[in-house]
Amino acid sequence: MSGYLAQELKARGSARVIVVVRAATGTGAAASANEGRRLFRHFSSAPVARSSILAASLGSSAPPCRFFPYLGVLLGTADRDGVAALRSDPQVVSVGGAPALSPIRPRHVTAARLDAARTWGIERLGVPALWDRGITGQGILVAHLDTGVDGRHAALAGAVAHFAEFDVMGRAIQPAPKPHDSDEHGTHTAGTIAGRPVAGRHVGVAPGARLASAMVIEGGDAIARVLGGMDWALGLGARVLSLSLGFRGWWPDFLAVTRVLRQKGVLPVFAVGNEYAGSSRSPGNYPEALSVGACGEDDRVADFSSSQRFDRKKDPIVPDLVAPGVGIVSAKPGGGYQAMDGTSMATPHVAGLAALLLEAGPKAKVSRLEAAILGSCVRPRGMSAERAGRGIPSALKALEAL
Amino acid sequence: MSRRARVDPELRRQLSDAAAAEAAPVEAVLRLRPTTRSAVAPPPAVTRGLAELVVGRVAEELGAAADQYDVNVFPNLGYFVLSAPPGFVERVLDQPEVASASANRRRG
Repeated sequence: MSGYLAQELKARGSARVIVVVRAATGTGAAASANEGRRLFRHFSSAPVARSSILAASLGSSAPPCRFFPYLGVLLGTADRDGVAALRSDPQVVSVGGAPALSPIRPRHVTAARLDAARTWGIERLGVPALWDRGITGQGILVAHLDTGVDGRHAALAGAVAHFAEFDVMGRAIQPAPKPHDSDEHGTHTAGTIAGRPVAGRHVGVAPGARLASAMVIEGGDAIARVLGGMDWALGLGARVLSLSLGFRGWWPDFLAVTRVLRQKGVLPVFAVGNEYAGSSRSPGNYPEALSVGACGEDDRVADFSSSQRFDRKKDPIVPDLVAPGVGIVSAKPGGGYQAMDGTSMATPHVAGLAALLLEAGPKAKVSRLEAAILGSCVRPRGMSAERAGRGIPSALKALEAL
Repeated sequence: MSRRARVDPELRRQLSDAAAAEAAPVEAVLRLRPTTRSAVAPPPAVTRGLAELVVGRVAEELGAAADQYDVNVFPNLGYFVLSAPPGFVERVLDQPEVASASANRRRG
């Protein structure tokens, strides 16, 4: 048994596990669903999160785990007996501790109404000054690799130009499904990047930008899924990559590919993590990433926002900057809005800002675009460089510096 | 300059575990070396050919058919992912075109 799984079972009596099902390694989603359903009894009752495809077929009875039939993977919580039963099942290929690659979960999620004409995050970055100049991100494609996106949400109507779901080998599932979210995370982050105004109210920083949105995370979380999404988005011509996921700690898995993205003209905007000072996540802690932490409306760094100093010459402190990430109202799957806290919420603000700047200066190279954003940052009084990097960006200053 | 691929410890561990389990497939993500000094990845037009060359060469060495292994190429990134028995993956890691490799899935 793996170290993580054994430790979790010993310490908590249960563990988050990822189960690969033998019969479901192909593409027969319906047959796989039956096979996955049979194994549900081995999981604890508390679901990890909302199931996607299977939830629809089961109606209101929520499954105890998440099942991804195309991936042939179950993700849930099991106790020692459940793990043993799963391991002994002939249809189970492997039972392992849930992988560390995960969306950077929001610290708080609350129901919210969109009462103001613009969210506080849009106002704090001074984005309306660019809108007033006719800059909305039009013509710019932003890659959004997350849990998916609810393309039917009113704020995202027309925003999702491309959608794909990738399997564990990084292949786009065919036929391509309609834009949907396996969770709530992706719809929220997508709304912040490129949400369209609804009844004159804005959640999106770049309401004219288009999204190449890929479902790459949760359920068979695998590096190849993320690489598949990156490769796909590059092929479509994305100029910015917004990534609110990562491994806890420092892992080099995405280091080389982040360099590739930059060389090919894509600005990598990555969340630093929600594990407080003295921590960070990869790839958000690479020198090659534009690393984003979270601040609140009070101009303080959010207490949960990760920050870390590395023993390296280039870019030793992460994050590079902070952006609004507390009480951020954005789109909720199925309609309506909700507020979330997290560096996942801060990151799409910066990705949206980058899209605006690229509309204004479409020939700007990645280094110049990044320098313009970093150069526009200001640290309010009391905000330290160790926690906030350069501080909070200003849309207008960044435009002037481009 | 060393031409051996850098391999992450998790992939090494999975290869070892899979070898003990007798030929359970291992999923590895492999980065191909750039073809010029100034590049960070091979051009998209040659990435697929390089991946096929590497897999085909190892298959030939082992007397196996290359198409029995699951390979997916990311041409825009210069990467490919391979699902194959541990002995096959080990041989692929030894190929000069492979710069580095990591496990596709971390199992905690």
